[in-house]
Amino acid sequence: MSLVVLSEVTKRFHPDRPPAVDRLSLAIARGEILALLGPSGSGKTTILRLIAGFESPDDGRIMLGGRLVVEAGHERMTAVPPEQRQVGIVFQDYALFPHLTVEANVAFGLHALTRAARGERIREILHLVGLADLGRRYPHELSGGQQQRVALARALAPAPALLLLDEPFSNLDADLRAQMRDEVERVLRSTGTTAIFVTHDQEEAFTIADRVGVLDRGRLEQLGAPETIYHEPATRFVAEFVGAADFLPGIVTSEGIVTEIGTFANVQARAPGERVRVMLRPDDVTFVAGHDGEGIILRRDFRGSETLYRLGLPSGDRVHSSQPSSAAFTVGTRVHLEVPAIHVVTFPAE
Amino acid sequence: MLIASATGKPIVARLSPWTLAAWGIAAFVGIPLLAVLASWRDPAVDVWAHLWRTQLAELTMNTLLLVAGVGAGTLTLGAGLGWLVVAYRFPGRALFEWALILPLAVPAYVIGFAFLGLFDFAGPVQSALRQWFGDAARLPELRSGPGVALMMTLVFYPYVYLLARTAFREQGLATLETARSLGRSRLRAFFAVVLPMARPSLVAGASLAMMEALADFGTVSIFGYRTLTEAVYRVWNGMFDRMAATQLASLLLAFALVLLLLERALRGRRRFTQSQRRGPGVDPVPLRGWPAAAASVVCGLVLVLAFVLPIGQLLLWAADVIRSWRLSPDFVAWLGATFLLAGAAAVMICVLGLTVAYARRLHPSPSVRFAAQCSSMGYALPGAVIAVGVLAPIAWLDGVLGVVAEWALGRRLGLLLTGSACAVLFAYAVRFLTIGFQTLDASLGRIPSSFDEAARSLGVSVGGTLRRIHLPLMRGSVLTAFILVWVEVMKELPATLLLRPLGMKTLAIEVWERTSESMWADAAIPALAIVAVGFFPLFLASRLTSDAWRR
Repeated sequence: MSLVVLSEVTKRFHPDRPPAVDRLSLAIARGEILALLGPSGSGKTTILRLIAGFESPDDGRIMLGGRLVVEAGHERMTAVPPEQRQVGIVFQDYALFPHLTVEANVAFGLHALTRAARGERIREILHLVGLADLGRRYPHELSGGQQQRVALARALAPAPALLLLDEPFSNLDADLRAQMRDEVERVLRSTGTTAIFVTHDQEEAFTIADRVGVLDRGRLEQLGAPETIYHEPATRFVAEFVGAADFLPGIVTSEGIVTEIGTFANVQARAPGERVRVMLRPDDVTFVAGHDGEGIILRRDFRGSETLYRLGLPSGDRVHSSQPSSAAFTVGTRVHLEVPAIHVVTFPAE
Repeated sequence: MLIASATGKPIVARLSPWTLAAWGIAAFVGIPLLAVLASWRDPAVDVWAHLWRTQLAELTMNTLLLVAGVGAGTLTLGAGLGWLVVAYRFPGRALFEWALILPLAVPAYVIGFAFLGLFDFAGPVQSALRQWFGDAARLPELRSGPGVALMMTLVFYPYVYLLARTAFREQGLATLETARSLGRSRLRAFFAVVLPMARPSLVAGASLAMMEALADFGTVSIFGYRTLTEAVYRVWNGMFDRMAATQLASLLLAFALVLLLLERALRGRRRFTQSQRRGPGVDPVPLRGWPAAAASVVCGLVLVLAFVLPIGQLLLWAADVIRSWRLSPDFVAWLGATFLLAGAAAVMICVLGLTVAYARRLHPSPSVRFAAQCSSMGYALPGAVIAVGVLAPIAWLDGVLGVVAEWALGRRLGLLLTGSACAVLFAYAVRFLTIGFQTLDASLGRIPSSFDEAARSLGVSVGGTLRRIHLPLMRGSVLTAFILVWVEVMKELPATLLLRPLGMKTLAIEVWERTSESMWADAAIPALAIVAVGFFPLFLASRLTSDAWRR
């Protein structure tokens, strides 16, 4: 049974503007890690705040662990205040209480336990996040990564049914971010915690989450496994937001979808005659040099292990191709394009 | 009653005790104002006719002249000294920079009576002049319009000075250098660019000073200068005509509102131009020779006149009183009563201020924001207006209580509230809630809202969050608010004088009673006690500016 169920939830902050969350329905299974991915302003943080109880929906309802916690229009009867929802939160700025030690921060949510049980739990949880010997420090005496761990420990200490993480790694520098990502995933998996985390970083979403929900202007565009999101985006927005993509014009014929660089299988069974755009990821496109090739290298961006080429086609359209850096081609080289048709995704041409 | 919110949902669903408390406090602050306005339902025609024939024109003219004089004076002195200290280097600058704030610690009526003692016909200065130059030697009369205006300028210029100094400094080198690169001299750049850019700050400072001048009761009554504030007291105490006093107070109120509107209009739209940018400060230019000496002399003269001389005179008088064993045996009792009254007021105001500030943090709805604004309007109301505005509702409540008590207990209780400290505490709350609210609101605003949410998500209620997170983090600011209010209450004169419980005497009242009998020396020790207490906020201000938010 699902731990968290959002049904048709709408939240608007201003009557004249489009809603921040628009008729969103979502169900999350126990033990699952879900990432909400979207640009800023897509409503992802608002969803977390609705689940935590800091905002109340204008429409729809939210259930946690089979219990109705809020239903629009019936707040007085239903709304469960945040402190009774058993939802832990890791904030973007960590929100560690500066006047309390690490131990006291972790103990903050443990008021129901006896003194002995509390001490035991603090030790256990600090050990879990690898801060066993820093309990007496104050937050300002810790590094960024350590503060992040304390925030995680504090949220996990009362063993919440659900953990919400709001852009948890955005305040860390790049190498620490990768390390903390692995660490947080380990802790979540080992405690079997159900978690929803919000990010605008697709790599973060893909590495940690079981499922990814992509949001645009308050609407859930697609919800699925990371591979599905990347290779089979449901909408043009998802295709563009998740990874780089070019959209090459094509026309549906009985043979398949004919484009400037070849014919693709009509896997989505579009009607013949329809004008479409074929999505091409840079890692789907390869090429070989040839003086009679239809394409020409317009630009080359060296990115370390791989190099991104921008290829010009006779029609003036452009396609990007990502190649291992072991071979290098110069700008102006004529090339033949090859597109192994593994995932063919098309969108109607507008 | 159903009130619809912006999203069309009934607001009632979201009513919390905090919201209700904020509305309650706003209403509480609004009562005296409404009482003053309500007095017009029953105009005291005969009193007005009498006033019209005799004094009304004089009172109005006097008040206008005083306010205008103080405005012009503080603007010139404050902005001039501010620029001198920020833009130039001269002997003693470092000392003058902070010492020029000192007059702020001294209530105007204290400096006023010290001056009268010094420069009166019988005072040491005029006596010496007569000895040297013969009996015809006279100083211009201090007990006059220009004399009072000069006095108040000397006390209130630090408002302009402080804001001007900050404004000049924050505009930074860039503005001045731009103007000079376009071919202006330093002095012309000051008038062409720096001064206009600092206008909002200067206007704010001068209007604070003018507000103080308008509300002042102690100085004008010692100097025998008739203004509206003084007339409210006189009509009340001399004619025992509360209705007429209340209606005079509403005239005073109108003046205060005009000042407020004038400030808004003059400050212009550029309200926030200065707060954000922070370039490198203006690099002071060293002065040499005569100009340097002149700068030092000007600053020194102001400091001596506004602070050193009056405080010195007070100390001399105090020493004299102590030597001749004339210190009243009741002094300790007055001190105790003052501290107690001010302490009670400060605690009450901190609680009220925190309630409003917290309500606004929890529920920043338009109605709560409006309530917060209402609660902090008291700063614009002269103490005399508040005093007469407080009395009517208190007297009414007393009447109600009397009836209830008679019905319940079967005997009369007399005027329970009017005779107690309730009335004067009520007036203090209205007058000084702004100080408490703004200090605590600013401090609360520095605490990220994610702290609240973290605490709530960890299973702690709203009240628990306030107790375990906010209050510990705000400790310093609560103390600051307490001290600021405490000091203001100690200095307060008109409301205390009109509303104090029978037989209660505070330091300020003792000073006023002695000085109104021209017994300058006897007022010195209580006055010095008030001054000593007045240094707390200055000390706090200098400490707080260097205090960084520990995280």
